[in-house]
Formats: sequence, structure tokens, C-alpha cells
Amino acid sequence: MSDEQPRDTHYEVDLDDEPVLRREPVFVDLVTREHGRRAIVPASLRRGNRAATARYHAGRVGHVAAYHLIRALPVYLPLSAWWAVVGVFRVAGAQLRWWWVMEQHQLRQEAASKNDPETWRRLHNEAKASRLWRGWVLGGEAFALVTAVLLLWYVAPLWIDLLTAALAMPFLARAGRPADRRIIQPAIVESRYRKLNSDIVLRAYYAAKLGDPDKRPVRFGSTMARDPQQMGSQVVVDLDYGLTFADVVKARPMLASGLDVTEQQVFLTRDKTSTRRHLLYVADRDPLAIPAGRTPLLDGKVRDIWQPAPFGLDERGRRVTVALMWISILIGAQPRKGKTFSARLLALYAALDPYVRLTIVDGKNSPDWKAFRLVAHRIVMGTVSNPFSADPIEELLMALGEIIRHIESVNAFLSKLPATECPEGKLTRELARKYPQLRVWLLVMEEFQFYFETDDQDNNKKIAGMLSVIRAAGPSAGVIVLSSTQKPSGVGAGDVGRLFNRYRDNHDVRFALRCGNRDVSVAVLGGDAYSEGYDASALPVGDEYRGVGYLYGATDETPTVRTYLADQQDAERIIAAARRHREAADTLTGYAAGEEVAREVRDVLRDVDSVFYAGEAWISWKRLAQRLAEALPEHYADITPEAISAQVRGLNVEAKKGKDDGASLWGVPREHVAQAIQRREIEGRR
Amino acid sequence: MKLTLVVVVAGLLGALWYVGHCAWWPFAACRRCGGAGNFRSSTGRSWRRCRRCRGSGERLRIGRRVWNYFADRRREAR
Repeated sequence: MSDEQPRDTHYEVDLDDEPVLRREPVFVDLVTREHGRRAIVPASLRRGNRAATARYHAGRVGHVAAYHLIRALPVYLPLSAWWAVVGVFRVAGAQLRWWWVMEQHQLRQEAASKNDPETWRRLHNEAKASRLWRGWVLGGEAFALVTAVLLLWYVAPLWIDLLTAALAMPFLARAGRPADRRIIQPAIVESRYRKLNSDIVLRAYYAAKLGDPDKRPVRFGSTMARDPQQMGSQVVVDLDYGLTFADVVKARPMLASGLDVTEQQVFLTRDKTSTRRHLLYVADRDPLAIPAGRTPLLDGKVRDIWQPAPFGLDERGRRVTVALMWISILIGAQPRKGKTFSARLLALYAALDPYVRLTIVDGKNSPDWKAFRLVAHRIVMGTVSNPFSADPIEELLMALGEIIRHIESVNAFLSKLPATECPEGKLTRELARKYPQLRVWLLVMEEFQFYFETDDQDNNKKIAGMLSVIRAAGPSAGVIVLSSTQKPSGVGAGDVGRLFNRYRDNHDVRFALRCGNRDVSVAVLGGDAYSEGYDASALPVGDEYRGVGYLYGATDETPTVRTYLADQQDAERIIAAARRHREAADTLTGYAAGEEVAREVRDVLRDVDSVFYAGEAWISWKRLAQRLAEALPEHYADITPEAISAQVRGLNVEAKKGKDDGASLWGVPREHVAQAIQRREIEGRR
Repeated sequence: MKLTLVVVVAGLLGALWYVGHCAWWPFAACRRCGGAGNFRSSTGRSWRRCRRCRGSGERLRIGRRVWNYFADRRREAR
């Protein structure tokens, strides 16, 4: 880099010339690790890839051959013949022009116009000499042509005639066809992209006020190149001294406008050597509009919760994963933007690991989570009594209590383990697989705000308290919390509101799909995310952008993720596979295990009837639960009084208060049970 | 027709070949003196220069004249 101006430096000794840094696009070969060394055998020719490479190339050749063969007779032949005829005349005309030295015509005319007889004379004489010679040449050519034609016509056999015509036709057709209409169109069209031009980039930077052509020029630190994945163009840009990377980030929308692309297509990466240098990458297409595809979980293989879960692709097409262990995730967005699908994606990953217990709580009682019946330990749907959950609030409290007890027991168990097994006092993969009490637990709270807003304030407080405890103590004990909401703020009042905000704000990882406004985005992503520039209300709107969101807090970067798709059918398929894995590993517990029982069509009324002693007219729920657990442990082992009460009452049996050892409790008279059985027989089984 | 054509074409090709050969070997012996250049008496004391070839003994072959004609035209045209 030569520097013509005098250097005003306060060093007494001249500094050495700066080394010339060559910034080349990195050649990405996923097989090698050595930076800079290209593989000796390219990846496409290694064992295992050769068949696929051969197939690809054979397919391509076959396609091109078939494409052209089928067009040879009906299209290429008549077109060539026609343009060949035209070509004959064109070639003849060109030759005549050559003979008559028409290229000199302009010069002679100029000389005549300028009234320059000597030049004209000289040119004219030269032209005459040229014409003589060229005339002889053309005469010889004409003579040879005539001879050839006569020979072909009279002497040569037919096949030589045809062969000559076939050989001559392409050249004549080439001469005769118009320049813009090819006879043979290419069979494979390479995708077109707008190549990034240094003029365009400079124009963009100057328009965005990031430099001035005269005083603060913008320079390039590398050649304009395509990126290794062939999805965009990139170049290293050097700004003038005084401008920083923050300025460029702020001017990104204006840059996009100057480059004539959408904002999502412009990517700026800071350069490690200097803050005035950065890498500008412009994608060919809007990367967020390209769907990420179906989830790789569709292969139904066993997964490991200790490995990161595949979540989607970022704008550069790189895979984004979420490491589920030890974290709590909050997913928030407007309705119909893909919240449930994203949450379900992560829950499906957990379901495919047979050593994970799932507790699914769905505040809006939607069919999305019903498929998890087959694998979940506990499922609670809705907030009011519904066909799925007879008493959702009670069941939720029980489920949360169960989790809290699990957390405590895990901590106690781990502290008792010897240091050889448990070196750091932490749950490990081997321990979780070895001991059933140490299983990893995933708690899914879908639309959890409903449970903070139920009619009973006491319940709200209890739920809020328990969720706070779980969220705080859970992750370290192997309980993963996955919450999703479409109303992340303004829920609850007073204490409940405070607890709700605390619950929401202390999730580790946030995933925000499109939000309605900035406040919602700040509630979901957190305030620091907003100050870093991530505003989920600025995500693009449109059908093709569903499932696009910011993943904040999982890693140091905040990628804009296009989540994988797993719709209802895919979810059912994956869960069926998950259930098979769990059956094979014998880790079905809770509801999922009971589900099989229910499919045997357990006759609850008859079971209840059977545990009545002879002559007993009334039994309390508490005692009933005990007796059922004793009599039929395989079905009613962990039945609680509330559960059996809900079940029996759900079968249209009226409860009645009575006395049990002096205490006045709710229970059921035998008569009501018998009546219900009779009624059922009359009406037919439902 | 076929026969005449073949004969004519063969003759033309032969002529072309001859001209080409002359481009390679332009001179031949003078017809009058047979390449000697001088006519000597039997004693050898008196001699006369050949009028045809002016004593050089060589003549320019016809084909070469044809070739030279075209070569000159070409040179002039440049």
C-alpha cells in the first residue's frame, strides 16, 4: 500500500509497511479441519459418496441428452434448415463486401468530404489492388464451390451428399440465425443472481452516510466473492477512520435500500482485527421466506435429551439447536404465529428420549397436545372441567406438587451418592439413566397465563408460587421448564401479578416469534434484548414467515430461526415412535401407562361397586381410594381421593356427604353407583 | 457427364499440383541450351552465350510464373 502524502507521525523511526492482508472467502469443506488445506480427494469422490456423485452426474447427463434428443427432429432440424438458407445469403453478402473492400468506404468518403484528392487517390489505388487480389481469391472459391457441387451432384453417392449437408448446415445456421435467438436452448438453467458490484456497494454506503467519495472514502478489504454456500455475495468493507461497527449496524436499513434488497438480506459481521472493518454479506433471496423443512425428528429414532435439540435454520442456512438440559425456555408471540408448533417441536424431541418424563399442561385445551397422551406422565388440559381433565386446577396442583417433590428427592438422592458415582454433585446422563428417581423431567406450560387468572385467587397464588419454585430450583435438578404464552404481560394483580412477572422474567432462553408491539416483544425477550436491537415486532409478516423468531439466550448469538415444521400428523407419528421406544425401555409412567389401561375400558363403576363391603351404604372418597389401591393396585395404585371423586362424578354419579370416623366428608352412596350402572345398561354404553 | 466431370476435375487438380510443385522448384533448364548456358565449339575455344537464358542456363517454369503473378497481386493488395 503506497502512501504518497507525507506521513505525519510522531515516531522518529519510520514504521514498516503494513503487511498486505489477503481476505479470501474460506473454502468450506466439511470433512477437513485444517484451515487452508484443501482436501486431496474432494468430498464428492470419497467412499460412500461416490455412488451418489455418479448418480447425480449420470442423471444430469441423461436429462440433458433426453431434452435435446426429443427436440432434435421437430425443433432443431427445421430451425437449422431455415437459418441455413438465410445463412447462405448472409455469408455470400459478407464475402462480397470483403471483396469490394467496403471497410475502406468510409475513409474514402471522408477524404472526399474533406476535399483531399491525394488521400482519395491513394486509398482508391490501394482499394483497386486489394480488389484484384481478393477477386482472384473469391474466383477460386467460386470455382471450387461449383466444382464441388457438380461432383456431389453427378459423381458422389447420396450418403456423401447428406453427410456434407449435415456438416455444412450447423455452420450456415449459425451464420444465419439472429444473435439473440439460439436454436439449441440449454437444458439446465443456472439460477441467476444479481452479482454484487463494487459500484453498487459504494453507492449504498455513501447513500447511508457512512462515507464520502472525496473526504471519507470507503474501501474494500477483499475481492467481491460469492460465499461458500453459493447463497449470496460477500465482501470486506473498510470504512474511513472514525466510523465504527455500531454506525454500520444502525445504518443497516439504509444500506439495504442502497443495495436495492430487503433488510433481511443484508448481514453484517464484525471483523476481529478492527472495528472500522466488517464483512458485508448480501443474500440472493430473502432467507427468512425459505421454509426450513420438516423436522429431522420424523425419522423416529431415539434421541438424547443431553444432546442439543434441532430447532431450525438461521438466515444463513446453518442449523440452530437448543440444548435443553438445565434451562427454562419461554416462547411468546401473537396468536397463529407458530408458538405451539415451536414448543411442540422441543417437546417431541424430549418425547423421543425414553428416559425423560413429560408433564404437559395446556391452558387453552387445544387438540395440539392431545397426541402426547401416549407418552406423557401427566397431562392437564384447560382450566375448567372438560372431557379430558375433570378438574384441571386440582390436577395441575397435584402435578406441580409432584414435580416439586421430585426436585427435593433428586437433590436429597444426589447428596447421598458417593463421590465416585456423582463427582460434582450434579445430575449426569449416566445417573439419569441408571436410577428411575433421577429421570429428567420436562414441564410444558402452554398458555400458562390462564392459570394465573383463574377465578379462585387462592389457586392463582398457589400455582404462581409452585411455578416459581419449579422454575428456580428445577433446572439444576434436571427439570426443564418450557412455557409458552401469547399474553406475556398484564396478567394477574398484586402478588399474583408480581409472581407472574418474576416467573416470566427469569426464564433462561427466550424464543419470540412475531409479536404485536414492542412492549410484548420486550416482555418476551427481556429488556436487554431490546437494547441490543432485537425487536420481535419488527419480524416480517406473512404466511411464509410463520415460525420465524429470535432465539435469545441459548448461545452468545441471537439467531433469527426458521423453525422446522411438525404438524399434527407428524407429531402423532413421532409420538407413536416415542411410545414404542418407551415400551422397549420400559419407562412408561403415569398417564401414558394408564392410557393403556383406559383402553382396556376399565369399568370404574363396577370397580367402585366391588370394593363396597357387604351392607355398606356409603363410603368416603378417601376410603374408597385406599380400598381401590389395595384391591386393584395395577390400575389404582396412585389414585387419589380427588381423582377418583372426579372420575366417578364424571360418570354422572351424585356425591353425598356423610360421616367417616366422625369427620364429615364427601363420598358416594352405594345406591347412586348401582343406579348409574343400571342407567348405563339401559341407555347402552357410551 | 460423369466421366467428363471426373476427367476435368482430375486435370484441374493436376494443374494445381503442378503450380504447387513450381512453388517449391521454380527453375528448370533452358530449352535452347539445355541448361548449359553457353554453346561451345568442339575445340571448346569459341563459345556463344545462349540467347534464351542469357547464359544463366535456367528458365522460370510456367507454373512459377502463374504463382508469381498471384504473389505479386497479393503483395500489392497489402
